[in-house]
Amino acid sequence: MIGSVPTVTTAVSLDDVAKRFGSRHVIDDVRLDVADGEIVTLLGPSGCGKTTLLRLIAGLETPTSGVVTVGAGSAVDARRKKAIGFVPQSPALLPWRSVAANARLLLEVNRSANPADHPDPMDLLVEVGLGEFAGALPHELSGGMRQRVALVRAFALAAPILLLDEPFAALDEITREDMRHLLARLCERSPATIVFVTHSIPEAVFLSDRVAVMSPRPGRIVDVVDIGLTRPRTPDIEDDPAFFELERRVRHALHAGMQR
Amino acid sequence: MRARAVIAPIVGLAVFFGLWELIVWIRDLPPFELRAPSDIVGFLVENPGAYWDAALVTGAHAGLSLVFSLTIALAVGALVAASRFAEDATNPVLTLIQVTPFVVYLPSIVLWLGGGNAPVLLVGTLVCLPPFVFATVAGLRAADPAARELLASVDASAWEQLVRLRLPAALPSISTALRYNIGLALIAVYLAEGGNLSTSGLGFLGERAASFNNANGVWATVFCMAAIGVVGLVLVGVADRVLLKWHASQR
Repeated sequence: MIGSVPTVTTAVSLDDVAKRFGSRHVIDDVRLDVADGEIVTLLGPSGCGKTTLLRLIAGLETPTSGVVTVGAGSAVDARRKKAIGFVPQSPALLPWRSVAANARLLLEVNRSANPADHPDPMDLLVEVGLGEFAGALPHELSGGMRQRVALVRAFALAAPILLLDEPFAALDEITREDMRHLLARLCERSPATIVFVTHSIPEAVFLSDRVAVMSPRPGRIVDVVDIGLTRPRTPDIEDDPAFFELERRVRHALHAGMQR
Repeated sequence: MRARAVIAPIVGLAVFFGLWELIVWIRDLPPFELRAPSDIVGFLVENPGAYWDAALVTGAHAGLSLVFSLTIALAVGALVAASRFAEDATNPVLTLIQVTPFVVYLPSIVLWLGGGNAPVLLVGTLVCLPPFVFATVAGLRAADPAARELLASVDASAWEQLVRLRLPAALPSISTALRYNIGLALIAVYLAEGGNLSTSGLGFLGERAASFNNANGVWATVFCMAAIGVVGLVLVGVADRVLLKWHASQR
């Protein structure tokens, strides 16, 4: 890549997207382009439709109006091609499967769409510190460990697009910090385009290239903050004054969005 | 833990049979009213051969009925769990099967299929079918919605979802239904054997003993039935330990 002229292509494009459930307007008028390899966070108060937006990109919902483009085609096409790695809010591990078997799960279904080359889930488990738990059942793990298995399961797909839906929402603050540092490490190495949903400002600033701030229902993108911190993102940047300044800007954008 | 698992059931049974024995002796009940367990066991020990053979037949009838009904229930359950229409169409029929006393239509079945194993297996299968279908449907539907969504996000087929997610998730409720159905299947095949034209099984022995006013003979078949039931429940318990060690019920 370095040395050649980078051609920026769009990995995910939302054009005037709206979603209604009956008479309930969940999201409205959402426009957002995510470039190939970019990490964009959707940040907003709970109930603002962040999760719905992510599900639209994952092809799990269809928009009421507007167009969702993922890669070259529709979100549903991307889903069929296993182009999307999804990390849900709850780890959604299958309780009867060992950690290793859970990490492999998504590679075992719809096999014909598997990429020619993908990382070994076992190597990823070792990398996130779960090597010795490969044979354990999910109920024997802590909440943070389960969510690490869910991350491995998604990264093992080697999908060009990763969608993470508040994966750390149920974790305590200390575990959460560890998890965002771990996720940053995994993201730095992966060429995937990542859309991350959270309501945590430090998480959004630490991980993202851009933060899309959403307003309460009906959810709209009210501001997009460029983060521009250097990569790789290591824990020490959280002490950088630039980090605080970005947190402040994102928080103000969030509050401005709440007033509308 | 291990010792308790062995001792507790023995204590429970000893208390139950001890009280039974005591009531018969203290109240000096006449033999036609209630036999003492010691009489019945004595009778069994004197004539073991016929009861052992009959118990094998009845055990096979009940076991096959459970296998047939579970096989049908898995197929019907998978269909019903996928379609509300299929559910609404099958529910009344299953309820009808469940609430109709099968002794009412047993003679028709015997006339239709003749004597032998066929009517016994049909009644056993019919009786176990509704609980298995209800349990299968409830279990298949209970699969974690987040896991369903996860599999949908990589476009897993309906079959893959069934095999990887829904069926394993349904195992605990199917196991519970199996525990109830062991009792139902045994009772059904016992009565079918008794009301049938064939000459094998505990139901037949019990029926014949009753017609000769041989109360010990009737009660001996009941004790054999209980023994088969206990063996069945122990087998389910072992299967649960292996297949459901991930489930909260086994921890």
